[in-house]
Amino acid sequence: MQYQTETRSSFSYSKVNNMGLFPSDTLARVESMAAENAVVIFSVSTCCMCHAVKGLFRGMGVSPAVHELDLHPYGVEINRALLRLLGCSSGASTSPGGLPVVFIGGKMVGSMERVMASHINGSLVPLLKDAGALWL
Amino acid sequence: MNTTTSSHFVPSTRFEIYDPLNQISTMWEESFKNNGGFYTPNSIIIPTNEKPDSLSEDGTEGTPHKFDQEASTSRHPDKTQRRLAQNREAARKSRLRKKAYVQQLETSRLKLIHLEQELDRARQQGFYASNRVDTIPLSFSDNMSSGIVAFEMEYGHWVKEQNRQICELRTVLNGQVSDVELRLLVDNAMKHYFQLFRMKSAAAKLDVFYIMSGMWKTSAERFFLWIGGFRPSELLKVLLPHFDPMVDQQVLDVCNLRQSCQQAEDAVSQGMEKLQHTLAESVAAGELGEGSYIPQISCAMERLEALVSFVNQADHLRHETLQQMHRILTTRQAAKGLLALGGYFQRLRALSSSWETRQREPT
Repeated sequence: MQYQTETRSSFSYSKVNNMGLFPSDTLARVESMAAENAVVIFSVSTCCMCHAVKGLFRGMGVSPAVHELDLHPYGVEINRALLRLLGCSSGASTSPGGLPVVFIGGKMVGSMERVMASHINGSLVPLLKDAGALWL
Repeated sequence: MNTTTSSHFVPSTRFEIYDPLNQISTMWEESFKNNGGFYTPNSIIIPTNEKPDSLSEDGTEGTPHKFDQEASTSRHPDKTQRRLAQNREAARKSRLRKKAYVQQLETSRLKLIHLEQELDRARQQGFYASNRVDTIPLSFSDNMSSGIVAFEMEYGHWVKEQNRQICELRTVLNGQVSDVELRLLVDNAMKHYFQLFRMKSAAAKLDVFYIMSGMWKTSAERFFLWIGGFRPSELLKVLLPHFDPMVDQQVLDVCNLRQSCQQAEDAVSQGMEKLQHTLAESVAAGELGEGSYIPQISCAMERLEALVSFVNQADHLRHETLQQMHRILTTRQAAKGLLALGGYFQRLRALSSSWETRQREPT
């Protein structure tokens, strides 16, 4: 697994500067959680769209790290942070509540819509391979 | 000669003989009716009490006056009393009649409002039910039913345009056509499909069950329904034979597309299954003897919101699959593919109508 520390720290810098009100420690927490594994999914245990995205990765032979935010002590803040991150990027989630959100190789891919689009257009598999989640 | 205002002089038909006293009371009646019970000096004669002494009882021969009120008043006080009493009675009766009339008006007004509301409701229900084969209890809000009616009309136009485009593609591919022109036709056809996805998305917000059941489609199309539309993997299977010959890179790309499409489809299907289970659980929750089922219904309602996002994801998958196909293929291959796809749906619709016709024929 390759960590590009420069881009990660610059990522956190720019995000903190753009969101003045935003507590940076939650953001740092999100980042560290996203970096724990090649594929990280922020999910809600009862959400069916989250269930679908988990099924997608498992069906491809990938084992993602799943964080169920409804069962997490800081779940609410993390959810809020993720919503802001999603809002900053161009893709808008079609799921109520914004989840699931997928990170691959520490970088945010986005919601179910984004993940599916990247899979269909063929960009997901190389991304997974680069992150070390898939082997040929 | 008549010194009274002739407009209000009503000849008394009840009496054969000329009776000045009764004529006066009838006039009073009329004036009360017309003026709502208000005394208006213009319409009635005010009996003056004083008369010149020249008029004597037997002095009427010369210039006969029809109304000898003055003479009567001074010489016959009981007649005056009688007249006044009759007036009062007439006024009372007039007031009662007016009250009854006004009450009748009020009742009619309320009835009219009620009828208008019923008519509105019936009209909307009639509209919505016209395209349905099965009977469904209709209890929709105005917004929902008018939005769905609008969608059905738009879809009718969409199919017409689709048929026209297919016809054009067929004609063009049979003859000679420039690549530029062909690319234009292909782009238009793609945009046409994307327009349908947008229409469906708006309709899903109004009534997701309507979209999920494919109510706007023909019966044969509904047979193949997957989350409110066609299955992307099926689509690829239908189109594949029309792309030959393909270069090696294309073969690889198509193979990858088929695999990723199938995986995405399976994932969304799994999510839908989970939604069905949790919805069934929400509805089934609760024990015997519980008074209210509202908590289960409101819990289930929350889950239904997720259904809208699934319909959107399914359409998104269809959109992306079509888009990727367009990227992989040459213009001519894409044109052939779109022609094949359009033709496929046309034949499904024709199958539906043939089936319906066959059902109606007597055996």
